[in-house]
This record gives sequence, structure tokens and C-alpha cells, in this order.
Amino acid sequence: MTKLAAGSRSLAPCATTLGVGAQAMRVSRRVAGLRNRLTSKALFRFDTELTSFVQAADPDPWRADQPLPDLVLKHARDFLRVLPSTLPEPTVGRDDDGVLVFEWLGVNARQVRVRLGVDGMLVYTGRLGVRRRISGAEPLGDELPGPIRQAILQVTA
Amino acid sequence: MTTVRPLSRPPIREAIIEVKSEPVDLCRIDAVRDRLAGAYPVVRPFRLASVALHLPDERRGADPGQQTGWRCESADGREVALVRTDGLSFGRLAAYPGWDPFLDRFIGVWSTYVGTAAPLEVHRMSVRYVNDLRLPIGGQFDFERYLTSVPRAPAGLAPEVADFLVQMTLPGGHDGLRVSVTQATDTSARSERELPVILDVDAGWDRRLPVDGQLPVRMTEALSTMRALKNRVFFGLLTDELVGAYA
Repeated sequence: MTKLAAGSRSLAPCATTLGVGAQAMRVSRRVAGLRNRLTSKALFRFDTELTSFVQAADPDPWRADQPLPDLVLKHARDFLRVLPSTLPEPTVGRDDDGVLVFEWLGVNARQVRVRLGVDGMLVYTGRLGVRRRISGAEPLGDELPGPIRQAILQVTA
Repeated sequence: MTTVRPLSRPPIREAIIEVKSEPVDLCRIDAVRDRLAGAYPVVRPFRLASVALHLPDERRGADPGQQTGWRCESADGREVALVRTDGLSFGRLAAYPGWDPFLDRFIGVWSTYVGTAAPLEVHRMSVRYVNDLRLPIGGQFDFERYLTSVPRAPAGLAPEVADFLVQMTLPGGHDGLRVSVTQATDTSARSERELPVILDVDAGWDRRLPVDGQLPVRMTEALSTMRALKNRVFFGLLTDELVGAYA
């Protein structure tokens, strides 16, 4: 029987003590490479969607959207990487002002929207209930900010 | 019951003690490098690990080329001190001399680091050993003959594993103490007679300690606790038959 330790959150991305020689480097590279490949596989669908935003969507030059800056796409991939696998996947779209929008929809018009532009800020708005709304901004980091995670959980519960 | 015993030919390829501390200016680390130059004359700049690991650009930080310290090696290349703005890693790469001499060498380098860089607080300590195990391949090879914890093939498939990499993090019995264990076959180096398996045991303790007169005693106690945990993991993962090959 194997039990889950109390308070466990996640595995270390790789060995946390810096190696000084070739053997430790091989272990760290192999673990990091495996995790990277797994993440890349999981993000394949989003990569396909994001690629469509690189080029102008409409061939009519008078109606064409401007291609998104590469930095926005990079931020988008980073954002998708920090989304816990237990959360539902968002729909991805773009606003007229050149930012990407990630959206989670729930019942009774509940929704959470996260806008992401070149500055790497996660600007979020949410309708969590009849009288309950949230909004705010958090910097993109190594983990999904708590307010956004809670809002997504409430909307999609 | 795990029996910890000395080995005459330990399969250790790297032994590392690391202390992470509050950041200090790089100019102080330059001074540490100069004071260590007698014992560690081979010096190279040390940059962020993401560069050394050749991670893709999107995984790196804002300034991947930033120097954070120095890699100082002994003339024979057996000892390495990574002196960084956020702490010290001290490693032994070959001919592991045993815990007590290894700890003494670390304490010497750490004393130089503290006396020169003057960090205010320590917030993490760790002990990591990378072992290169060689499993003999005979007619009836079975992983369980040598290792106590290996992945199993799914039910319904032939009980054969071509390659594996397993990482697990275990609580260490004290608040903030954990051990990360990585086991991986190295099939690229497999020969007709043996299969290499890397066993990486990394015990780390998140524990804030002020840099004061009591730190050497507290640090030695903490490192000894982590070493004991590392030994329990190592000997708990090897069968008596494999331990006997290194005894």
C-alpha cells in the first residue's frame, strides 16, 4: 500500500540541489527534458490554436487583424504551462486591441476572462454569481495566481 | 529493516552539499573566489543553470546570461565549489573519501564563504548523492533481484521494462525536510554484461537559520540528519545482493 503524504503539492521540476559534475547534469537534463516533452505534448492543441494568431486571419487587407506580437504568444504558452491539469481547458480568442483572451464559461452566464498582452500581466474579470463579480491583475509567474484559480473553480464547478 | 553499512567501493559519482542563503553582491563572491584560489585554482564564471542545461529560450529567465558566481575547481578536478550570490555548493566528483573528510572540506570552504560574503541568513541546506549502479545482466535478469522499488509493466503485458525513469519526493520526518529520489536506467551505456542505473538521492531541508555563532553546530547536525536520511533511502532501495557487490 502506498499512501499520499500530507501537504504534498507537486514534484520538484528536477533535483533541487545543483549538481557540480556530468552525472548530476545528465540526471537533471533527463528529468527536465522528459517533463518538457510531456508538457509540450499536452500543449499541442493550444500550440495549433496559437499558431493561427501569428498570421493575419483575413486575406482582405482592409479587414485583416494584425499578427500578434511574438511576445504575446510566448506569454500565452507560459500561461498555459502554469494552468493545473485539473482545471478545464479555456477557449482562446483575441481582442481587437492585440491581446489574447482565455475564457472559462459556466452555467447561468458565469464566466472568467483572462486577458494577456505584451506586458505579461494577467488582467482578469469574472462573473461568479448573480451579485458577485471580480476583477484584478496579477503578473505571470511560475504558478497560476490564487484569485484566478479560485474563480475558475467556482465558475466551472 | 534497512541495514546501513559502510561500503568499500561505494558507487558514488557525485557527492554535493549545498547551502542557500540570502543573496549578496557579486563583488563579495569575487572576494570568496580569490580567497579559495590556493586550493581551487581552476576558475570559471558560473551562470544561470538554465543556460548550462540548454533549456529552450522560453524556459529561461529574463537575463539568461547573467553571471551569478564562480565555479572553482581543485587542480586535480576532484573537488568543485560553486560560490554564488545565493549560496554555496560543494561537490566531490571522484574518489569519495567518506563522510567525515568530505564534511570537513565543506566546512572549510563554507567558513571562507561566510567570513567573506557575510550572508545574514541561511534558508536551505541539502545533501545530494548521485550513484552509478551497475546491474549484472545474466540469463534470468530481474530488476527486483537488485532494486526494491522499480516500476512494473501493466497487467496483461509481458513483465518486461525496456527503460524507465522514476522520480519521487518523500517526507523526511521533520518539518521542511524532504528527499527527492530519482532512479533511471541508462540504456545507452548498456553492455552485454551490465545495465547502468543512476540513483540520485537529494535530501533538502527548508530551514531558516541566522548566521551566528551557533550556526556551525546547527548546520553540522542538520547535514548529518540529511546524510542519515540519504543512507536510509540508498540502502532501502538496494537489495542485499546488490549491496554485497559494493561491500
